[in-house]
Amino acid sequence: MTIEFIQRNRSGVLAFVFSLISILFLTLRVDAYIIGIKTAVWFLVSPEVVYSGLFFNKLDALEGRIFKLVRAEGANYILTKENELLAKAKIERDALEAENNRLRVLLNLKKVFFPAAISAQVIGRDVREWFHVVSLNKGKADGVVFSAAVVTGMTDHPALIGRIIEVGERTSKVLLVTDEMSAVSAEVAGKGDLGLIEGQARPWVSLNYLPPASQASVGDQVITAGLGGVFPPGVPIGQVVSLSDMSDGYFKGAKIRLDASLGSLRDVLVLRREEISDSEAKP
Amino acid sequence: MKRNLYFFMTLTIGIFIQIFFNRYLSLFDVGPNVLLMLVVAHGFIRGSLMGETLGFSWGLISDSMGVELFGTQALILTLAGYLAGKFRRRVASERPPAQVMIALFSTILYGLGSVLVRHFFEEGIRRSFLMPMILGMLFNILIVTAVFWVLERWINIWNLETEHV
Repeated sequence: MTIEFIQRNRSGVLAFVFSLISILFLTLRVDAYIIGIKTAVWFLVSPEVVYSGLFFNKLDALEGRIFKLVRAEGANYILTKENELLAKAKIERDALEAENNRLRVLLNLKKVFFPAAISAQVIGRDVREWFHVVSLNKGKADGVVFSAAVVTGMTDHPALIGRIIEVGERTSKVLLVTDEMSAVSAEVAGKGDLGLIEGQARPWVSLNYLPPASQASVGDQVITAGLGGVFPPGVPIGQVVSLSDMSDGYFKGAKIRLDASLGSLRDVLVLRREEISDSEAKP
Repeated sequence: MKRNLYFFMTLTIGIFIQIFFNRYLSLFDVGPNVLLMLVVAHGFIRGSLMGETLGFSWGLISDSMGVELFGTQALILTLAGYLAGKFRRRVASERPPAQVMIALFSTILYGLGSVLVRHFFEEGIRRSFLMPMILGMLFNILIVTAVFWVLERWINIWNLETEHV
């Protein structure tokens, strides 16, 4: 009867037994037996606790490495940002350095070749007429006059870029030598052959009307001839890159690569009238 | 044999998980009571016998590891496992809302049980129990669904016979 009851209520009986044991432990908590049991249970489970501790210590170390990685990632982010700022500063510094160099060249050019010339900056360019006209920040008030020659500075010599075609009070416009309307008397340096530089609305210009017996050859420097009183003589224009006979069969023509980079004009010199007759810019 | 192996493996892993939670997921020295949740979940899934046996064993281990009155955890977890088994047919414990309610009530009963044991067996020491109980309850609610989900799969791996009580 009792065994049948126990079998039928196994869980209840077991719960009762476990509870009774627990209450016994609670009641006899200061007893030496309890301390012994506690020690025995601890002895049995301690390997697991020890191994758990070892495992979690390794996990902690891993956590430390993760934090190190996170910190490294943060430092990397900061350094990347600093690097970007430095790169930006470098670009600004390079731009300032380039501007400084340009101005230094122009100043030197002005001092050596055209002391009375007016320094001006290109402030505008018609995107539809890239090889035709640029605007300057100097005008009548600064002494700029109609048809004045405009040069820019190369490292050691000036280079012709065009002439003033419009003068405002504070601004002016330059007709570039590449414009189809532009014509400048020129000569092949060292050969003495005269011709006419004509714009082609292209990055290069043509040197037309060279005499049939011209000794001009590829690589020759072409300079202003100084005829007509607009451009001073001896200002470099460009170099001969090819020669051909003109369509009329009498004159020779040449394709000239300009010394000045018209696409990146920044600073120029506007020559005064007196300099056109007084000086001669020799490269 | 399989049942015994399951019992010892579960016992070991349970302790391991409880240590992990105490170490990494405790707040104000209170963490999720994984052992309580495991005992209750065993009671609901496997029945009173497994629940109370594991409860008593985990209780004894907890008691031996702690400095509380020896027998407190053993008593409470035994009763928790037994009662969970008794309610297994009345509660649809496979549903998450039911599991949340199980976590809620089991934590409250666990807290009250601890207070009662201290009241009867501990002299002159009064510890605050409300705040730890509320915090523990929140923790247990957070983990209870996962505990049931994992335990069901763990039991399925062992392919144990269902306890008919």
